[in-house]
Amino acid sequence: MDKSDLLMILLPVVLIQLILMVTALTFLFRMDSVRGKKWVWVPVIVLVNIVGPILFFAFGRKES
Amino acid sequence: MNLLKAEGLSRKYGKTDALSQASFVIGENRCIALLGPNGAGKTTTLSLLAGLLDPTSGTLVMNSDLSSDRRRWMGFLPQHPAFFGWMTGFETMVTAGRLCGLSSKEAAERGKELLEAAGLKEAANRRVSGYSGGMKQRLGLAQAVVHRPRLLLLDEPVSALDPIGRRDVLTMLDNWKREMTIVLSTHVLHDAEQVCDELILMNRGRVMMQGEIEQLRQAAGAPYLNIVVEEGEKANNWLGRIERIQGVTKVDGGKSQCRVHTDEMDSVRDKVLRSALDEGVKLLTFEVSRKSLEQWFVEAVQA
Amino acid sequence: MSGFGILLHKEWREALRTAKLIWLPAVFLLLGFLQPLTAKFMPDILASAGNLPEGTLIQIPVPTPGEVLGQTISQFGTVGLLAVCLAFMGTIAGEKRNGTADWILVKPVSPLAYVASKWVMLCLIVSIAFGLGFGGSWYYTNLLIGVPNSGDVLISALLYYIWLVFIGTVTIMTSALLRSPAAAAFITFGGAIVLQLVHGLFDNKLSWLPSGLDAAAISKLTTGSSPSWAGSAIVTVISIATLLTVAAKGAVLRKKG
Repeated sequence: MDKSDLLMILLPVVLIQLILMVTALTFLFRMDSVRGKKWVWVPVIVLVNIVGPILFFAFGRKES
Repeated sequence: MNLLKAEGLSRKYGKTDALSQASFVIGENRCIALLGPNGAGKTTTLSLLAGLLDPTSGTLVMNSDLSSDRRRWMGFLPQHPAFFGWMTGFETMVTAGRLCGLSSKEAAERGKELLEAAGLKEAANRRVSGYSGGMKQRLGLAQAVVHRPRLLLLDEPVSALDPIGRRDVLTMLDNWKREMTIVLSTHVLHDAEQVCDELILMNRGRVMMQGEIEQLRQAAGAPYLNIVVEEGEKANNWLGRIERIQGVTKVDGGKSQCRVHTDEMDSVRDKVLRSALDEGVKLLTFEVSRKSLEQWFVEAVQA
Repeated sequence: MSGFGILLHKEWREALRTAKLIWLPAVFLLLGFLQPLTAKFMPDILASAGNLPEGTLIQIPVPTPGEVLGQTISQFGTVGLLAVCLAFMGTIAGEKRNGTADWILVKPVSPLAYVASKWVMLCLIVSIAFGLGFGGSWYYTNLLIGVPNSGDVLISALLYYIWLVFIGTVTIMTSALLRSPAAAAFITFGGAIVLQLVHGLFDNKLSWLPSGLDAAAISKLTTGSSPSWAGSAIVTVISIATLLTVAAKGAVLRKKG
């Protein structure tokens, strides 16, 4: 398998990672208030793979 | 015709009686205030009426001409109205209307009309999460009447509002009370007096009394004459002699002022005034007063 | 069931606007992609990472396509399951807590319609998330490892989907009974893990547990045959109906306040 094939295979994975992360970050910055400090959530969302955004969507949002 | 009648309504939470043996009647096209201090059982009563709670004992008898599911002809606004923050004001109205059985066209028309009446026309397409407290309260009122209910239940509709919000809400209620019965709870007598025609006085989970505000005002206490005079020996002598005037039952006097009690106010008032003029007493105040509803409310609650 | 259609519409818009319809499928897709990728490249990764002496032979048996998909399902069984529990934990508890449940229930709506609207949306979102994730995993397995038996894959997918819906239904019920959404999520997730363990330990006696569906789905993929799952399926379907009835009763239950 050459490099371009590998890229094509990894591209969707990276893309979906990005979608998940960007969605979480968009919600984080658009929200008026979140549970905890806003900036604390940034590394959680960006660095903790998959589980970080899940935790943010589950617990980061305050019920309005 | 009565909309509903509560007979011996009680509700316990564990061992505490939030409401015990409450009986009252809710008539048509009137505004009724549930008045009482905090913890009197007002919210419990409204929740029972709205069907959010079931009574521990007692019954609610509905008007048999109306649908057996009373939620169809009732609107309810809790003390802290909650909405879905992700919906816009207009979507909230349409969803409320549709859930109450309106067609989507009707719901949209009603929604638009009521949002305008509530002064939320500009905010209609903004998300409710960005609304201020006063806006939420007005939205709450608007969505509660979307299906033209016969009975509107409001829990402390004005207590959390600033004076302007308070006035807006009271104006809205004043307009609606011709079309439906409004039952609102409040701990402020003044708010009740402004829009309501009837009072249900509650204290410690009990209904103390129910009646028309005007009648209660009459019954609150017999009228008396309140007199204040300019100081002077002549005036003091005169005050001492008022008791002898025919028809006067009792005089509570102090220095240069007194309260004259009587059963024949009309004749006594003339006689006292004439005697004051004859004797050349300089009057500062000469009025017929009554124990105010406020005093009566405080006494009733403290009793 | 009055109000069902409108409530379903509300649930749909809510899932869209709170991004549940984005993040849950994304999580399942990532989990689905990662398994075949790891299976394919693990030997290379180990070879390049370790300072192994020249000539060391790394012998990791290359898994069969079925085994890879079975591992994918195991992955769904941890992070995926937790994501489902977290996604639906607040569906009633949160609405009761902030008062929006009252907003709905003072209107002429039946409690069953309220719960059913949430359940149908659960089925829909889980089918999208799991369908994409498992489909993605299947596609990558075809591409990188080999072609599994389609019949086995589809039957496993169906069995596992029912298991996921079952866990989602438990979440809805705990959410209706408990005040705290987080408690609802963790009790359900813990319960699911216990169910899986118990089924693993007492396979022969308790094969009718709902977790039998999860076990059957994995074994169908890895070995090509599976123990009878009919008992589990029947128990699960009956449980779902019961859970929904309990949830409808719980939704109108109010504590002091």
